[in-house]
Amino acid sequence: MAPVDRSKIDLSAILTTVETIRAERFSGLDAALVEDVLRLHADPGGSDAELARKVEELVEQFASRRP
Amino acid sequence: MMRLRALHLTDFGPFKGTQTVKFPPGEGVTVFYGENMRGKTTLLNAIRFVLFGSIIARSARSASLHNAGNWEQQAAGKYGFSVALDFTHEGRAYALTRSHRPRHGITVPRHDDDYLTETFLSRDGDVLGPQERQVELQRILPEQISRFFLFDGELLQEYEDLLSQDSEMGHRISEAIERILGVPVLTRGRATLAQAKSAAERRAAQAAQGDHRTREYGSQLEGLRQERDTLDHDLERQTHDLEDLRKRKSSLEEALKKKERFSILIEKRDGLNSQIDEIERRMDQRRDDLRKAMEHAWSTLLIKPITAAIGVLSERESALRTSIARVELLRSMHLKSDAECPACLQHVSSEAKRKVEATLAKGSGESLDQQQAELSDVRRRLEAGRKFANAASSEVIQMNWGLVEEAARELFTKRDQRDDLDRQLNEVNEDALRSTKAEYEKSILEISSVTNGIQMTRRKLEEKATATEQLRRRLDRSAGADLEQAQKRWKLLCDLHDLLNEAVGAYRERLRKSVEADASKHFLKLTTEEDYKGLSINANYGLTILHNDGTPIPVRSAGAEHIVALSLIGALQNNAPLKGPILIDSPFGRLDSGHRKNIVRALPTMAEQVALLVYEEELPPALARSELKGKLLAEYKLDRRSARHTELVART
Repeated sequence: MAPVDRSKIDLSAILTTVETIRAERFSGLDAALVEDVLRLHADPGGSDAELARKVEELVEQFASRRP
Repeated sequence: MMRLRALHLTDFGPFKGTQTVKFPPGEGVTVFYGENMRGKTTLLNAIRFVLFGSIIARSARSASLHNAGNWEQQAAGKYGFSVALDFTHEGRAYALTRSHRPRHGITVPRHDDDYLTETFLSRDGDVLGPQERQVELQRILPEQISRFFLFDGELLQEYEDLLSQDSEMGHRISEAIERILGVPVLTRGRATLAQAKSAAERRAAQAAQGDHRTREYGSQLEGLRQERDTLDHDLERQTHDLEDLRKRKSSLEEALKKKERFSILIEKRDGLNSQIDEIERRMDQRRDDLRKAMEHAWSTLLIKPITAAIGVLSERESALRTSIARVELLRSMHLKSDAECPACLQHVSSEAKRKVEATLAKGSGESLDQQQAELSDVRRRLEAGRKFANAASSEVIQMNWGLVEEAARELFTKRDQRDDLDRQLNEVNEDALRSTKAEYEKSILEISSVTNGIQMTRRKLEEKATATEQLRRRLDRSAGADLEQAQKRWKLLCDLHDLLNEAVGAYRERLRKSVEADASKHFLKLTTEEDYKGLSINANYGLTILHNDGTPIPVRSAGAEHIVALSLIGALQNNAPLKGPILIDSPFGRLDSGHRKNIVRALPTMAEQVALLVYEEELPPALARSELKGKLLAEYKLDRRSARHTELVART
């Protein structure tokens, strides 16, 4: 899977908002996974189906890394 | 962020031949001076064309490209044009060229279809393929948010629609605002996760069905998932219908607004017709009264002798009443043996009694009866005389005549006003207007019905979700390894989805606060009114001016709307993940010199790169230089060579 490009758009305000909620209410979720999902959606290219596939890949990668 | 470096125009609008504008590096403002019809709006359209492949007219609608070429060149048989833009973005150099040339074999193109548009984009010298080019351009400056970068100052009043919850334009701008602020990153993420979540749930149900211990639960789970899917689709369709209905209502509202003047005239005309009916009815009544009075008009000739006769009869009536009273008094004294005088209450002596009897003897009983009969007769004649005198009064006739005349005058005036309105309404299709009104009212009812439907579907979805949750808990207790893995992935996706769902609301709230604060800062720099405290924002990003005492200013002038819209655009630039240059055509609208100065001073704070398209009376060069100082990067003049030829000349 292609690496997520972290330079394309300034997501700091979005990431801060999401991270605050994650830390408070979804602490079981991995912060890096959340950020990767968001960065995937910051790129305007790609169809919805392609995005869904990439999200599933990210989740699969993350789940398989964990016991 | 995107930064413009140079713009090359070839035969675009009045810009004949190839002409180049260079945008100097550094933060500040480039000013283009041009009188009316020299090509300021065309220059903005050239940038719009090279970036998005289209141009717009002043009305904000798409315009034909066939007419966008240079007219002198077209007259010489040379059709087509091209625009090239050099810019940088995130440290990389781009060259974008878009040309619009007649198709092969067409010597005299007649419409847009006779042309072929070709686009080339290079990044750091490498030409990108069509798909990559499209993605790259969409990433650098999406057309949907171009209204915040390339705009006509005279269209800024559109932002006023953000204050109306039901305005179609307001919704469009609100969507664009959320887009520039990056909300779609979250909403799109939420949609993708919903899709992935559903797929993971399906896989978990399949895994459960594959195990004999959980087969039954798996089937039930899959059944519930399918029902929820159907309900989700219903909800999506209903939401879509609601959106369509709102758009329809909004367009009908706009249509009615455009015809509002005629609606008022029709209402006024209908009101006048009712008044005319009432006056005609009143006039008929007055005429009837007058006719009756006129029947006795001849009697006015007898009014004098009758008045004299009434006088004589009145005197006679008075004399008779006195005489009858006297006789009745004497009689009462005569009848009583120990009579007292009713005047002095003294005993009446025998002598006095005899005198009374003598007096009564003189006037017999018959005389009293005669007097009473005469009194009745006199009274009857008096009444008839008075009645006659009243009926014969010329004043009554004059009064009725006056009332009829007054009603006639009123009727004439009202009819005249009504006819005038009819003339104004001559061209108006009243039936169509009434039908639009009826459709508008129908759309309100339909919106209410669909809204109820949505609430019902949501309730059903909640019920199904609760049932699914209960089933899943039972399944968890007897799950095998495959099912456990599938459930784990599904739960992870659920959490991610829920997180983004909460984040959408939180981010919107954060943005609203931030945009409100920044727009207020810009507004206080731009406004000359000291009594204003700032701006308050609504759910649509519509801004209302606040007085120092905290109360909102409900009605604002065109100038104030302009200032508020510029404040919003400045705030969006501050808060947007995506930044770029601002190019403004006619930014000063109907603003006075104080506001103009404030805007010029504030422009460099709104974006790193700003281009202004103005005429010199609007922004005298001396004022631009004194207010912008080192922030004035370059000045260009749109110099007239002919009605169809303008040269871009750099000022030094």
